[in-house]
Amino acid sequence: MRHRLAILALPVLAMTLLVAAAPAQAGDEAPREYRVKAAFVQRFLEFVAWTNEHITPDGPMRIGVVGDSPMEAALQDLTGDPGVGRELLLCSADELAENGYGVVYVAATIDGLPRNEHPVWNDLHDLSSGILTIGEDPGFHLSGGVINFFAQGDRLRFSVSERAATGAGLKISSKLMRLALIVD
Amino acid sequence: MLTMRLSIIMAMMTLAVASVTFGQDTQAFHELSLEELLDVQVFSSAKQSVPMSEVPAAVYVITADDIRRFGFPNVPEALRTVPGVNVARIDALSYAVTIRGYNGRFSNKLLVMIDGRSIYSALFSGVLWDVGVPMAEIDRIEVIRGPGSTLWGANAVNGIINIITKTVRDTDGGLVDVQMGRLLEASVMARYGEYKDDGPSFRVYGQFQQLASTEGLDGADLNGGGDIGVGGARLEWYGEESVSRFEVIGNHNRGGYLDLYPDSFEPPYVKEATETSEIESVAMMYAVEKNKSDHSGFKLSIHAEANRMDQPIFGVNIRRFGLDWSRHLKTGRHAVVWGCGYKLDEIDYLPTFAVATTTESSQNWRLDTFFQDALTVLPKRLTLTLGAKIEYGSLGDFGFQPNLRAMWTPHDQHTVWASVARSLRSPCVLNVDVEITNRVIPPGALGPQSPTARLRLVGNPDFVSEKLWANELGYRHMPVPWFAVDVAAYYNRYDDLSSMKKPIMTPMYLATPPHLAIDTSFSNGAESETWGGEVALDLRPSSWWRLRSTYSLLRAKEELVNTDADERLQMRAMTSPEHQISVLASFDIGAAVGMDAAWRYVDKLERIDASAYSELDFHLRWRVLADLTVSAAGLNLLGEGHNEYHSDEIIARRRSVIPRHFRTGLRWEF
Repeated sequence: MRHRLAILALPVLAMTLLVAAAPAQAGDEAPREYRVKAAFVQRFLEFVAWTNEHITPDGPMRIGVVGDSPMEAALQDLTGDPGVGRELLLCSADELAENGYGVVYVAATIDGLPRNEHPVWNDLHDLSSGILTIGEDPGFHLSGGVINFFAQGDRLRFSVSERAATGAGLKISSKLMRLALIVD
Repeated sequence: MLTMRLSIIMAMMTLAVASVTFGQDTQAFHELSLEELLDVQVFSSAKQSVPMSEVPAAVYVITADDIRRFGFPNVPEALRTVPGVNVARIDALSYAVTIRGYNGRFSNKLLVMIDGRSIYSALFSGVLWDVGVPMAEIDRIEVIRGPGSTLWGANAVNGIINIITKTVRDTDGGLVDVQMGRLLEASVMARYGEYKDDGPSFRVYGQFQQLASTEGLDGADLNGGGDIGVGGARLEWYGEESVSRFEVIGNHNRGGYLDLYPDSFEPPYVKEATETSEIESVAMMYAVEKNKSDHSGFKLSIHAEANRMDQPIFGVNIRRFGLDWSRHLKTGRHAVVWGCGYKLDEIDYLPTFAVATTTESSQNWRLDTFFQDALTVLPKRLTLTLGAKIEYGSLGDFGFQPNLRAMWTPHDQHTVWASVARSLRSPCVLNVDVEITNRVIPPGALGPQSPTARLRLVGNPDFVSEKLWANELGYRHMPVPWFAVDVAAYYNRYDDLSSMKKPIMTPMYLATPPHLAIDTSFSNGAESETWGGEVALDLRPSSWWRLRSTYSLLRAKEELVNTDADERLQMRAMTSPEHQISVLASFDIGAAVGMDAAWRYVDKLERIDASAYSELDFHLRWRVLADLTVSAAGLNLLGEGHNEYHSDEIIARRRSVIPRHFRTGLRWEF
């Protein structure tokens, strides 16, 4: 018995040591929620087609983050990765506007203001054609957003507005629609 | 053996250290497919149970991710990880499971539900754990320690285990899962479903498990083991605000249940159940849930069920019909829930020498109604919940079960809650109608010239509900997003607790053969106090690494208040361990490889002479292709085997050794 207890002490000790080493790691990366969201975003690109003929299906894609969100850091981690199917070019919302197409992730708040009260959102909204807008607040589809994240239990789900997608000149594949909650 | 243990531990440590050094797993998620991303548990443990964490109760949730990670083959194995829950495997097929004391194969102070349908047996108010639901079907298992009788049904005395299955939306496509190993010799599970948002979605599934017999303490083959088959089909309709579901589930178990029982007045007076036992059931259920926004909605479920149990020791046919309806509404500071339920059980007995009944069949019904109001006194800071349930039925007395709970959140990181509740365990058929012959005593065994004697436990129609006043206090703290602690303490006071009367001897001169009847029967002659607590720690130092640990304490003080109660025959709380500790460690190495270890210590079971033990399970999972995962598990690695439980006090059973065993598996999702 004594013998066995001694052996048991080993894994406990090992865990304790690991725990002691842990906190240094903890703060370095974007929160799990945003790393999963970033992974979703790069997967979405496989299932969204831009009706604009200038855009090739596997060329680099410009992507911008608007508002107060750790999303930029999470996407940054993906940009340099050769494993990502489509090259992501992180850029500012202004650059995107000039370019005319791409992906914008819109945080729930921008400079501390609710998203839809901030002028940047309105600017974006005006030239929504060619831009895949992805958001995270409950009213996102109402103001024309294409894909919206929401929490269900401990998982992330997403909804797609077909009307907004068509309006933005995007064609969303049936596979993505199958997994999404469809709004209007 | 020692070297093997050591090498496993060393391998674990090496891998863990290796991943500390090289584990930049920021790339992990993007290798997952969309379907897999939808299955990733995103929010931390305190947040993951958002609706549950707002409940002022001791709650623990086993997620689909935990089930996948640890490869639990059935629900009781998964419950081993939960604080306050004691799981003892009796043999290959049977388990004893309880929360906060009073464990037994027929433990009766627990409410177990699958999707809101209670699965306790009308016979003994307990659960036959060998009948179940395939693990791959389960979305989560919510375990609530302490009484929840206000909102949940009868028997929610010591706790509630709520098994919630996945919706068809969550399981679009196909799955084949095959496992092979030593104790669980084979397990094959297949599922296929199609989800549509504009029409009926469906899923069909089936699972077959074959279990080898365990051995006795002396190494003898106990002729146990058997197979468990389950199959089902489900239809779901999704409306704008509603989900409707129709489901049919069938179960068929066949195997050796290792009962020792008397079957005649002839020598050798005791028989070992070598014949095969069979349990079959078919259940049909229709449920609809409608939610108008978050503020208002209702749930309705109707189910019908037929069970056939054919065992050497006893047989029974049970038909059950149940209906439950509830409505919830939020207005201003009030969140109100009310509803009612009805249950009807029709039972036909197939009596044997060992288990006879006073009637050929019986019909029992129960009606309940409940109301609860959660009042927000200070938004986000203080909530008071007041509720009550009223129960009335053909077997029980009139039951009033009030509950008062308070939850105080002085700071976003700290939550304190307290609860006082009364709860009842209503009498079951076993308490009232059944006559069990425990033993036939050979002539001469009680003294010179003593006749053959028959020891019986006889049902008592005057038996009333067992009652509990439960006092609980809890505290949750999440100082940083990657660390959470959950503490709960309880003081339970049971009254009218089941006891056994002192035996009465009656000479049966006219019976064939003439014998001495020694009869005891149930009475409400005991009282007890149990107290203790649980601590659960959850640490996620990094996204690829999670550590969880729990500790559970149980103490009891019991006394017999009726002078006719027999001390020696008394059921005891301490058929559960005083101390239990568990440590779970989960590691991801990249997106493809997962490694999980579970260590547990279970204290001795004083009342039934089972020794303390500690064990280690190890599970390794490797996603070879996007849709193909292989896994391997080693269970009970710290010894050749150990005994976890002796036998129920009513039906004797051979002591089994739960051996060290291994399992390999293959899972294909398409």
